[in-house]
Amino acid sequence: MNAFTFERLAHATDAASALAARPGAMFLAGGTTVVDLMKVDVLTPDTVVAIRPLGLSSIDVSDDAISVGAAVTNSQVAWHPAVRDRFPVLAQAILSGATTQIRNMATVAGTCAAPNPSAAVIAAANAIRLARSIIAHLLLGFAAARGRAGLPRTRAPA
Amino acid sequence: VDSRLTLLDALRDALGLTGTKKGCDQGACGECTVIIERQRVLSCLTLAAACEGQHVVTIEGLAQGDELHPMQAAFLHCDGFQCGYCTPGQILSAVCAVQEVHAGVPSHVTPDVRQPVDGATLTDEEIRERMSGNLCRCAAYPNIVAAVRQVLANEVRS
Repeated sequence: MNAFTFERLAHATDAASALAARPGAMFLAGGTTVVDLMKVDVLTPDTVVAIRPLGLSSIDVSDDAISVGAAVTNSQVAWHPAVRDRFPVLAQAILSGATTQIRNMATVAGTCAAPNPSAAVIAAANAIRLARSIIAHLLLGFAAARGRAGLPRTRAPA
Repeated sequence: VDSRLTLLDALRDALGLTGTKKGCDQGACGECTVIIERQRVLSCLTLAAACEGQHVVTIEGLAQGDELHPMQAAFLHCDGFQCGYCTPGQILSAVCAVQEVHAGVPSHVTPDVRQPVDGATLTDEEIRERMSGNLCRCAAYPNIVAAVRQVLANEVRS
């Protein structure tokens, strides 16, 4: 793994500024993608800015939208009573992937951003404005696409 | 600490707590499972620097002195291991799995995520799914399921 500076800041605006100031900087939330890819030098940030100390951990559910903070994990969303009650397909979509340990680490925002090369930009938007209902819509689309394609559910042997 | 240090390497190499095992070191096997802030997570994908101020439980911290944790006792009673390499991660994961069941949260195989699960009627399929983040190359799975079932049954009775 390349050497990097670990930045632990208290405010989202400071974190966004730190990221903007260093072209080689990346956000780190759960680490299930970023740390994994840093280990094999696919990602080589010179600065890593931690999301979790920023306190962006709220889940707000309204009739037609769910607003998820950038530090909220997949488990927290999938297990949230109001999410399960009003957006059960979102809970099901999250629970259909990975393992409990991974879902306890990975954030919804990071999960949506991870396959995208502009992950830092999306995470930055999440850090400042919180992830809006687009997060839910992305996952809903994912679940729907899997259902249409008739793909098997993801399961680890047990 | 070196910013590159994972929690797994910090535990094993810096602190000498070798109960936490290194398997794949890429988040797939669950051998390195630890409990951070009451959630089971993977120490191989967690940066030690990101754990500042957090409460981390490893297998070394589970027993109360010479008194085994009920899950440790159940693994012994049910012969829930063969070589034992995956056992620390299995036990820590199982402790959290039982807590999650008591909290009523769903898994991927829960028929209706809107309904809370009940430990008394939990199926083996549920236990296998909830433990699917921990691989056992000896395939001690039936006895691991039995150990989790035993703890669930005892706790539901008491």
